[in-house]
Amino acid sequence: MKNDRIFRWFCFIWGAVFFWLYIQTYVIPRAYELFR
Amino acid sequence: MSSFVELVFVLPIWVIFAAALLQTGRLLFSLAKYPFADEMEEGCFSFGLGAALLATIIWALGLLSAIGPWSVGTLTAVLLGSWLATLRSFGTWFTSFRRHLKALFNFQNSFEVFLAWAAALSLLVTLTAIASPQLGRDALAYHFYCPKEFIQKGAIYPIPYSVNAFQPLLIQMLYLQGLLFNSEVFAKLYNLGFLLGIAGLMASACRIFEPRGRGLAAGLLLLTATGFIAQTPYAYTDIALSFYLFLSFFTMWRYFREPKMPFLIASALFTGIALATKLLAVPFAAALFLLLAWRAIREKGLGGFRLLLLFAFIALLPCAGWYLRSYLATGNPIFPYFNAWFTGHEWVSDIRDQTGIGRSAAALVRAPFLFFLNPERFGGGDSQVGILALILAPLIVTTRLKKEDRTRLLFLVASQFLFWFTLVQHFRFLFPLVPVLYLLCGLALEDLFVHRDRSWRALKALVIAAILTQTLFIFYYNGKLSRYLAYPSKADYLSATERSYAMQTWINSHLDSSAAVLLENEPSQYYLDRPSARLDILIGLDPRLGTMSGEERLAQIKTRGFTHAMLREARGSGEASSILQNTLTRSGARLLHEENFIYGGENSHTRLYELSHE
Repeated sequence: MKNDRIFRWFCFIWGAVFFWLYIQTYVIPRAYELFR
Repeated sequence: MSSFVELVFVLPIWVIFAAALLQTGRLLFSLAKYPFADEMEEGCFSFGLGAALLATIIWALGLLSAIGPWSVGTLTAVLLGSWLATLRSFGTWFTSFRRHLKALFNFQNSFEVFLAWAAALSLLVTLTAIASPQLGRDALAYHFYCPKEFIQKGAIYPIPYSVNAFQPLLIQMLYLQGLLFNSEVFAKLYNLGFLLGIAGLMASACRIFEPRGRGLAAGLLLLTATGFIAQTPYAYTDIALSFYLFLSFFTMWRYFREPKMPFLIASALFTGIALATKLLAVPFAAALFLLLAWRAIREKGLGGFRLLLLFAFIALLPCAGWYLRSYLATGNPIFPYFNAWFTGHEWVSDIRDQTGIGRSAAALVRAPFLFFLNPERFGGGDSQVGILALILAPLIVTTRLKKEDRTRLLFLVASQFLFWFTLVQHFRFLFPLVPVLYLLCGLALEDLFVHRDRSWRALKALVIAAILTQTLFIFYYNGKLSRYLAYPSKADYLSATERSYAMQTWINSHLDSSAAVLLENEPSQYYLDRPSARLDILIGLDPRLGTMSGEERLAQIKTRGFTHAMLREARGSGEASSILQNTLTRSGARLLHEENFIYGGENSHTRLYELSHE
């Protein structure tokens, strides 16, 4: 399964989506608080 | 700054003492001829056993009303003395331990080098934060408060109007040792020891699941797990609990691989120590017990019951005393939880806590995602697992594992998650699962970094970005604590950052020693040197107080010997939030002192009244 090209891209897209959401919901509000 | 100087002096002493505890544990394990796989395993197990033994002896001294600088000092000296007497044997172990570390840290790729840097920086900022004067709410309410009271009385006794004094407090016995020597830093360094213990065991634990695995990544990754590291500088017990439960998980899996008695006995012993650390060990211990029962009964039929009885008996040895004590004093071995069930008397406890996202089916699906994206909903942005586990989720699910391991791990994780979801949705209460989760992350990454394929590069970059963010948040949270470095003294720092410190020190210097203070809306009692109690606990223990009129309630409070009341209100919540305020004003109680506190978005106002006794 790990050698499956589609699986590799799925893993990346899954990770990227949640990382982006994390930046939006968690990281940015704190950075804003820090540099306010 | 003065606290940092304390750290510089105390750290080497603590390291030497930790070595003495480790040596004590080693001697006990060598008596039992325990088959350790490597020196790291031997070190972590021995430190865990040594620390638990010390805590149990201090507890026994406390029950005999013999806590004091002399008794605990002698105990410490005896441990150090036996370490010096067996220095040669310790040296032999230490030489091979260093060789083992060198082999482990023989970096195989630049990712491991990056991880080592991230972990080292995270440890450095954490160590600085450990020296910060104590702020954590629960630490001030009981993790440090109970040992302080025990020291003052020279005994482990039922502190009046305190519910926590009946709970298992094994790790608090180690804190007691530090506080007795007047060093909070010494007490808190135990947390760092337990954290490094879990990280150190990761390599050995990885090899149980993947014999070719190095496990270095998993260990270093754990040192970037935001929530874990952000809790290390606080005198809480969740890291110690996770350490002992990880030890029992680890040894139980060893037993599944190779059904040898020493593994089973060690697993039972560590389960028992975890049960003596915190009530929250019960669901994890129950899950491990069920896994053992499933295997034992399937393979040995009724003969399996003998194994289970043995396991239960050994697990009860370190913890039964704590539960028995609670049962004898309150009629409930797990006081104050499920009190109505044991004693018929209801206690409004954390189980009614509204933290979390509710218990609907939709919440069940959303919770695992919201852990990572919105941890404030689960009791604080700092008590979170870090984003890495969510990013790696598809890889974790597809990691190569034996079929029976997969089923067992799924059972363990699902049962803990469901227990947490139904009872109390504080992320901190899922901490025992975090080492297991990072172990799986480590296994997934071993897989990922084995592929030198170009198409994995994007994912690798994402993983590195996630680890960087986790490390940055450790700087964010523990860096905040390190602000104490800018203050000339501990008292200056605490007056500026701890909301009730100024009022509590005012009370210490102005009220005479016969004063007894009732606190409303303030659970922290650690900095107060007068007998004190919390109004919410008073009402919890005697619900009639909650239904009385103001005047009757006040009369009841006075008959219990309280001479003063300290009322705290958060700005904006209004006077109505105080149960006592109006009655006190009407009854002519004299306002003695007021303090205003404004720090980092928190405004609070504290008043001290003298209850009239005419």
